[in-house]
This record gives sequence, C-alpha cells and structure tokens, in this order.
Amino acid sequence: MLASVLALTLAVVTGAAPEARPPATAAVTGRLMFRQKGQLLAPRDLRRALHGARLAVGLRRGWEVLVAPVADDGSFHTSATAGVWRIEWLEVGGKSELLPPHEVDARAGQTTCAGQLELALQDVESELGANAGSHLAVVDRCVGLGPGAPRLPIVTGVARPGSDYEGSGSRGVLEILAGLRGGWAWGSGDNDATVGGWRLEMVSGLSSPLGNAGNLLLVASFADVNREVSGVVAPVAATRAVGLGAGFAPFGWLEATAGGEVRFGGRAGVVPWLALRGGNPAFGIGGRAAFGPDGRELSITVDLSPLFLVGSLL
Amino acid sequence: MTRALLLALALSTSGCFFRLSDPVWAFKSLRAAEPVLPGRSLVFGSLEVDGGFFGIGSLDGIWLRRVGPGEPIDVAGATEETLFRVFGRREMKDGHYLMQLPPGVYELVLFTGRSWGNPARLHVGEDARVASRFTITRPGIYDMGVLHVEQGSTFGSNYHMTTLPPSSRPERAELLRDAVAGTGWERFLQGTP
Repeated sequence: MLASVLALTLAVVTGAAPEARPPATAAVTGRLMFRQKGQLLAPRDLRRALHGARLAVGLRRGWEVLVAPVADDGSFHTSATAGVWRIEWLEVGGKSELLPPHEVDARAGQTTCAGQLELALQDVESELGANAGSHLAVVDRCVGLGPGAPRLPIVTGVARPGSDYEGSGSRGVLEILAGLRGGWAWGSGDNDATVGGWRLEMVSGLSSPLGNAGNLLLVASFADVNREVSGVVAPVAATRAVGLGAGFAPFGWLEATAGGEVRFGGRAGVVPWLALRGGNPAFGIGGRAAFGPDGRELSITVDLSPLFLVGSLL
Repeated sequence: MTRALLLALALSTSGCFFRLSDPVWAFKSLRAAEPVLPGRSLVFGSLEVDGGFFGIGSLDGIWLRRVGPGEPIDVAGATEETLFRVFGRREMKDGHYLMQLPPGVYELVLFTGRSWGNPARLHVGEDARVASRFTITRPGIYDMGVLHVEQGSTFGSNYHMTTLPPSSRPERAELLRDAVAGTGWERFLQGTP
C-alpha cells in the first residue's frame, strides 16, 4: 500500500492560446453568492475569510476558455462568442474550486444572464478552493445586473446543469464487443442427468457499461444444452437454445440475470433460467439453474471474452 | 469505452508474460494520442520506483479517480497493458506516461507493476489519496513531475511517495515535445522553451 504522498502539484506547461478566437458577439453575466450556515453572503461580506483572494468564474466551450472576474457584489460579466458555454470552475487566488458543470446559452447580440450562482459551503475560509464538497444551486435572479457589454441588451437564460462528462453517451465498438462471451457449462439435472455444453452470450449494460455497479443488463444467448442420462443408450438429437434475459449488477464484479430460452432439436420447449456470475468483463465464473421439460438443471459456468483473449496477445 | 472497463481489462491482462506484440512494442516511442474531445487536458508524468530487493521492481500503470465535481464516478489512467496495444500509440514507456483528462478533481488510487516478474498492485491509502488530489481546469498540458515511490522498509508492504519537480529531470521536456509533435497538443507547447 502507498501510505504517504508528499507535495503533489501540477505544473502547467500550456503556452500560447490554442487558436484564434472568433469575435465576441455576445456576453454572459451573472452573480456569485456564497451560502454559509444558512446565510447568503456576497464576496464583500467574506473579505477576511477570502484573504484578499481574487475570484473569477471559469467558463469553457470546447477549447475556448473565458475567465470572468467576480466583483465585490458578486456580479461577473464577460464578452463571449455565441454558443453554449459551460460554467466549470471558480478561481480563488491560485486555487480552483470545481463546480458541477452548468450550461448557459450566449446568444448573438444579447447579454445572457446565467442567474445567481449560490455556492454552499460549511466554512468558506477553510473549504473554498479545497474541493471539499461544495454544492452549487442556480437561482433565476438577475435583478441589478447590467449588460455585459455596451449595446447588448440583457436577457434571462439561467444556467442549467450540463452533462457531467462530455461525450460519455457514446459507446465504442470495443465496449460493445466486451460483452461478447464464450463459455462452457457443466452440471447435473433431475434423474441423474448430465447437462452442459458450450455457450455464446452477448451481454449489454443498459444504464452503464459492463463492470459498473448498479447496472441493468440485457442478455442474449445461443447455447448447446445437451442432456445425457446414465443408462440410456439411445442418443438424443442435439439440443440448441436461443435465450433472452435481463438482470442487475449490484456490484461491478457480480451479475444476476434471469430469462427464458427456446430450445429446439432433441428436447424442444421454452425453459426459464436464473444465473449468477462473478468476475470482470474479461472472464468470469458462475452458476446457472434452468427448469426444463425434463426437470431442474444446475450447472457451473465459466466464460471468457474473445476480445480479451485476442487483445491481450496483440 | 469507459475507463472502468479499460481498467478491468488492463488489470486482467497484466498477468501475461508474453505478448505477440512485444517486439514491435519495444520500439514504439512515447506518443500522445490526438485529443479525444475538445477541452480535454494532457497530463504528463514520470514514475520512479525504489522497491528494494524484495519490493516492487517496476511500475507500468498509474490509475486516478475523479472525485469531483459530484460523486466519484470514473477512473482514468495510463498503462503499458492495454488491449490491442500494437495498433495504438504508446502512452506509457519507461515510467513516463501521458493521459487525457476532462476538468475535475483527481486523486491517485492505484499503481500497477511487477515484483520479481509477477504482477503487483500498489493501492494508495486513504490519507495518501486525499494528499494526492489535484485539479484540472482549463485545457492544456499539465506536468505531474516525477513521482518517486519508495519502499518504507526492506520487508514492509508500505511505500511512500515524493514528488520531484519537472526541472529535476531536464530530459523530460524533450521527451514531451517529441511525444506531442504533430498532434493537436503541440500548439499548447508553443512559446515554451
């Protein structure tokens, strides 16, 4: 275990501005207030607690960044290019307090009022800039705020919560293929039968990718579900099954699923099943219970992701 | 693909001794991938380890957790052990690493490496995690400096980490310049010596 860390600081090596910025045709304004022990305070009420630190609101749009200085009364203004800007952080002297992203739509020819940003902390002096769990609320209050730039009339466009992670909604091919699993099942059924065979499954996380806790799952499978009973000489035609199920992952390493499968071939029928799997997206081990036409079948399963198998060699 | 999934796959892969890509991989230079999204930052850093005779001999992965804003939700990192690595750019080599991060507050959670040829993991204790926190705000290139990890005692399982400033290893500046040359990150280095 790594028991202690001393002095981890980042040096910014950023040089020039990334690219020429198009002319600002819009403006954004708003007010920053602090809520401490139920009281709403402007920066001027907290001069001592802030130790003279300069406050500024950081806004970002793609690569573009705007830093709007905060006045004593909490108001801030900045010229901006038209478009949706994300309010992402507050500069406090040399430190930064990260804010839950809020988006404000800066419209051309107008000053958009983002509203009153109320940052709640237990103790402003010790917590501001320490990222120790502040809470941000945005209130539709623009009274007393002037236009951010001359000749740009003010309109209300209260900042609304933005997506936490830009681009997190898309799923890549690798992520989808990580749900493809090939495996084997061994087990026994009623009447001393031996059950099992190969299994191909496609598992998808509905609420988040595989490997995350609290995830809803969807399972589609194609499997060999042969059953052999000791003492029976006559072979039974091979039985295949196409299944569909759903489940839940209470932890990242555990999946509980249930569903039904249609069997065709030797022992046709519709069979409900339950399964529990522990492991990670690369490989897992689990148990499976099916309730077929010939009785209950219990089996142990192991599976491996072909994506992992090939990808780990290359 | 989310980083949590990548982490699971990378950790699973770390036990492999041989990969078909090894001969090609050895000649790949440290190279930053193009920015995945506008507004991301590139974090550059280096790992050094002094694990003594019985401790961790090398580190080949570093993992962070984003702890803010909001609830801790994701894991980011850099590792030598990625899937299909032969087709991608090498973002970790000889202890130097590159990773792309969105704005947020981050803390160190895990190092992976090898001890006498076996995979080893170095979990970061709670106090050390809090002490390691740093913030990423405006897009750019950030240098974490050199993280020097040292075993507490010869047979102990506790390690300690100190940070050496970027200036302590001047050759790193050239390494970073080469790694971002020709990529979208290069413009951030303009104007620096």
